[in-house]
Amino acid sequence: MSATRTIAIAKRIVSQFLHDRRTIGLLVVVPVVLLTLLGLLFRSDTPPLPLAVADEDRGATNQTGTISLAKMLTESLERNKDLSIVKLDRAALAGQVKDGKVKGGVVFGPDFSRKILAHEQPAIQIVLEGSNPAVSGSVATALARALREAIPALLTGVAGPANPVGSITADPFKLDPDYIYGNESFDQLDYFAPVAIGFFAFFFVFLLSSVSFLRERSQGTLERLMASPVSRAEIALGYMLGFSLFAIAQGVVLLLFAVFVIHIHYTGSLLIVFIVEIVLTVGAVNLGIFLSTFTRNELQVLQFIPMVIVPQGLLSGMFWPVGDMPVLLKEIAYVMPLTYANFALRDVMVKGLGLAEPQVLFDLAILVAFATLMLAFGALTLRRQVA
Amino acid sequence: MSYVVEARGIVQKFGPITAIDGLDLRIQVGNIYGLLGPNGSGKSTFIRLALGLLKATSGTIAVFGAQMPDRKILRRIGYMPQAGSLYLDLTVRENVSFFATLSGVTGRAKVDEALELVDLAARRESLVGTLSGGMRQRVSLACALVHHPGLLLLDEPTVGVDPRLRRSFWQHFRRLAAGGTTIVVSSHVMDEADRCDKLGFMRQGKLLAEGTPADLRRMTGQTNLEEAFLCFAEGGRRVEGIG
Ligand SMILES: Nc1ncnc2c1ncn2[C@@H]1O[C@H](COP(=O)(O)OP(=O)(O)OP(=O)(O)O)[C@@H](O)[C@H]1O
Ligand SMILES: [Mg+2]
Repeated sequence: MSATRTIAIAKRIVSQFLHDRRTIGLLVVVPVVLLTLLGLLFRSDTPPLPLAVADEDRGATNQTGTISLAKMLTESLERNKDLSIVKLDRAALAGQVKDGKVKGGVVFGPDFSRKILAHEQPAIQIVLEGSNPAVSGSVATALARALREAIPALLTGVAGPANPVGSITADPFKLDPDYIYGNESFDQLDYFAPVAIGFFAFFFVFLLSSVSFLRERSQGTLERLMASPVSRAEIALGYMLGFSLFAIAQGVVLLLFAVFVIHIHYTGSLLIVFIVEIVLTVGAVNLGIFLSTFTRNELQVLQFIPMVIVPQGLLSGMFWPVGDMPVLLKEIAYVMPLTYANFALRDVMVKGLGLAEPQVLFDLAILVAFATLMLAFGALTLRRQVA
Repeated sequence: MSYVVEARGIVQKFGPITAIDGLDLRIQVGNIYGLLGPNGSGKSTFIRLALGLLKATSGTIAVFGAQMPDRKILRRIGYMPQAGSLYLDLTVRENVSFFATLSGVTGRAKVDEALELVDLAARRESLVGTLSGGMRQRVSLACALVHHPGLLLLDEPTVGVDPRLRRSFWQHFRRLAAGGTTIVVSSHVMDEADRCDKLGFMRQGKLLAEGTPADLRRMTGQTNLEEAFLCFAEGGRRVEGIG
């Protein structure tokens, strides 16, 4: 093993990149643009959501007199600046939802107040258009959040200044708690950004390293390499080193951008996040070298995107928690390196865990093992590539 | 007599194709050995076997007394592949100095010397992708020569190189050979073949005839090598029993 030769290979990769500004752009600028888009998607101020309320509540009588809890909830929905409320009867509400004049409707039944005071947990009927599950989902979420936010007002309203709080339960009506998202400070972007950074790094570095290596073969330079005293391990390591430099640069830019420009919240150590990203991308480089053995041209490299990249994007927990997936998909997720990166990144950034935590260490160890395994595979298949 | 390359009973099969078919070939120190033969006769395959890039189906090949493949020996060999084999997105100097480093040469002196030799010192900072075909061929030769190897394996080194430079290459090959460098050159250019110390004529993976250029002319009864080549290539009936 010669350090000089390994470094020569790494240096060569760096020089090739320096002559190719556009590819450097792909590596850094494109992920930055994508992160910005994500930021806008998750954080932009959307216009108030038009909703209808049908209040059939007959009210109920308690110590303070006759009150209508539905009316109080409606008032608090009206105060919510994310919503714009129209009051209709049940039939008109259904019509307007159907025509798309409002995005959804809330119906309080006649016994709403009475049931709450009797601790019977009345259901609030939510009317959704339903043809687009994504829209329905976000409307339902917005409604649930708004209703949930109205509970404190409801409690004071029921209790009245002279009466003890607690004459109704803290959970007065039935709503699927799954709709209610996150805590106050973390939003979806905070949850999504760390893993998006990992995903971009994995994707672009994988793509570049496999194309570079493929070119090494198709241009015949690999033949010359193999006819020189350089060993397979030195080639694979040199590649890893050279690409890691770019992976590091990419990681630094993306993290700084995420933290200081799109202001994602994080609790844990950025250094650990960075380490996780680097180990992940080193694995991606080695995977790229290994898989490029099985390709004959650039088009065949592209075929690895739907085979290797997309499944990881879908199943690694970026969009849906791995724990909530069906057993089969869960098992697939557990053989994907990105899954472990995502676990580690969220543990560190969202939960603030450190390297001392066994779960973070475990995820990192898996990533190191993956990178090492791919390095070995890459080196082993190198000889095959010349003949 | 010491041999730099010594091949015994080499057979190299690629699936159904037998590229080398029982080849015995020995090359002496300080010789310029010309490999001739029609397309597909196995010249490049022989060179790749000598480098250990291929593992022969049967038979053995030794270089500097070591059985190939042997990575330690590669430091003493300079190889110029038949096509390209350069980083188009690197400059001339970066290419040459990269391969120099891999062969254990550091510092600029030898790189500069190789670039002078192929007359590309002025284009050292040009990207190889922007060079003309003949210029690329010259860069490729520089990469093979830069570490002053004891054995040069050159697969059609002068394709696309203009006559003036071609002559200066051959003058340099002569100087190297005089200094003890062994050179194996495959070629289809007969006036180059005439400059070799020894020629081997290959056809269908076999060594059909071997000797000095004068020997080959005599065997075929031709006065020029081109005609001699055609004699061999057309089935060698007139030279049956030789080689
Ligand atoms: N890697 C390979 N896989 C399959 N067949 C091969 C391979 N390399 C060479 N061959 C075959 O072996 C035979 C000899 O090829 P080789 O390249 O040695 O010929 P050559 O004498 O160098 O020809 P040319 O003058 O065209 O360069 C050809 O039929 C070729 O198709
Ligand atoms: Mg050839």
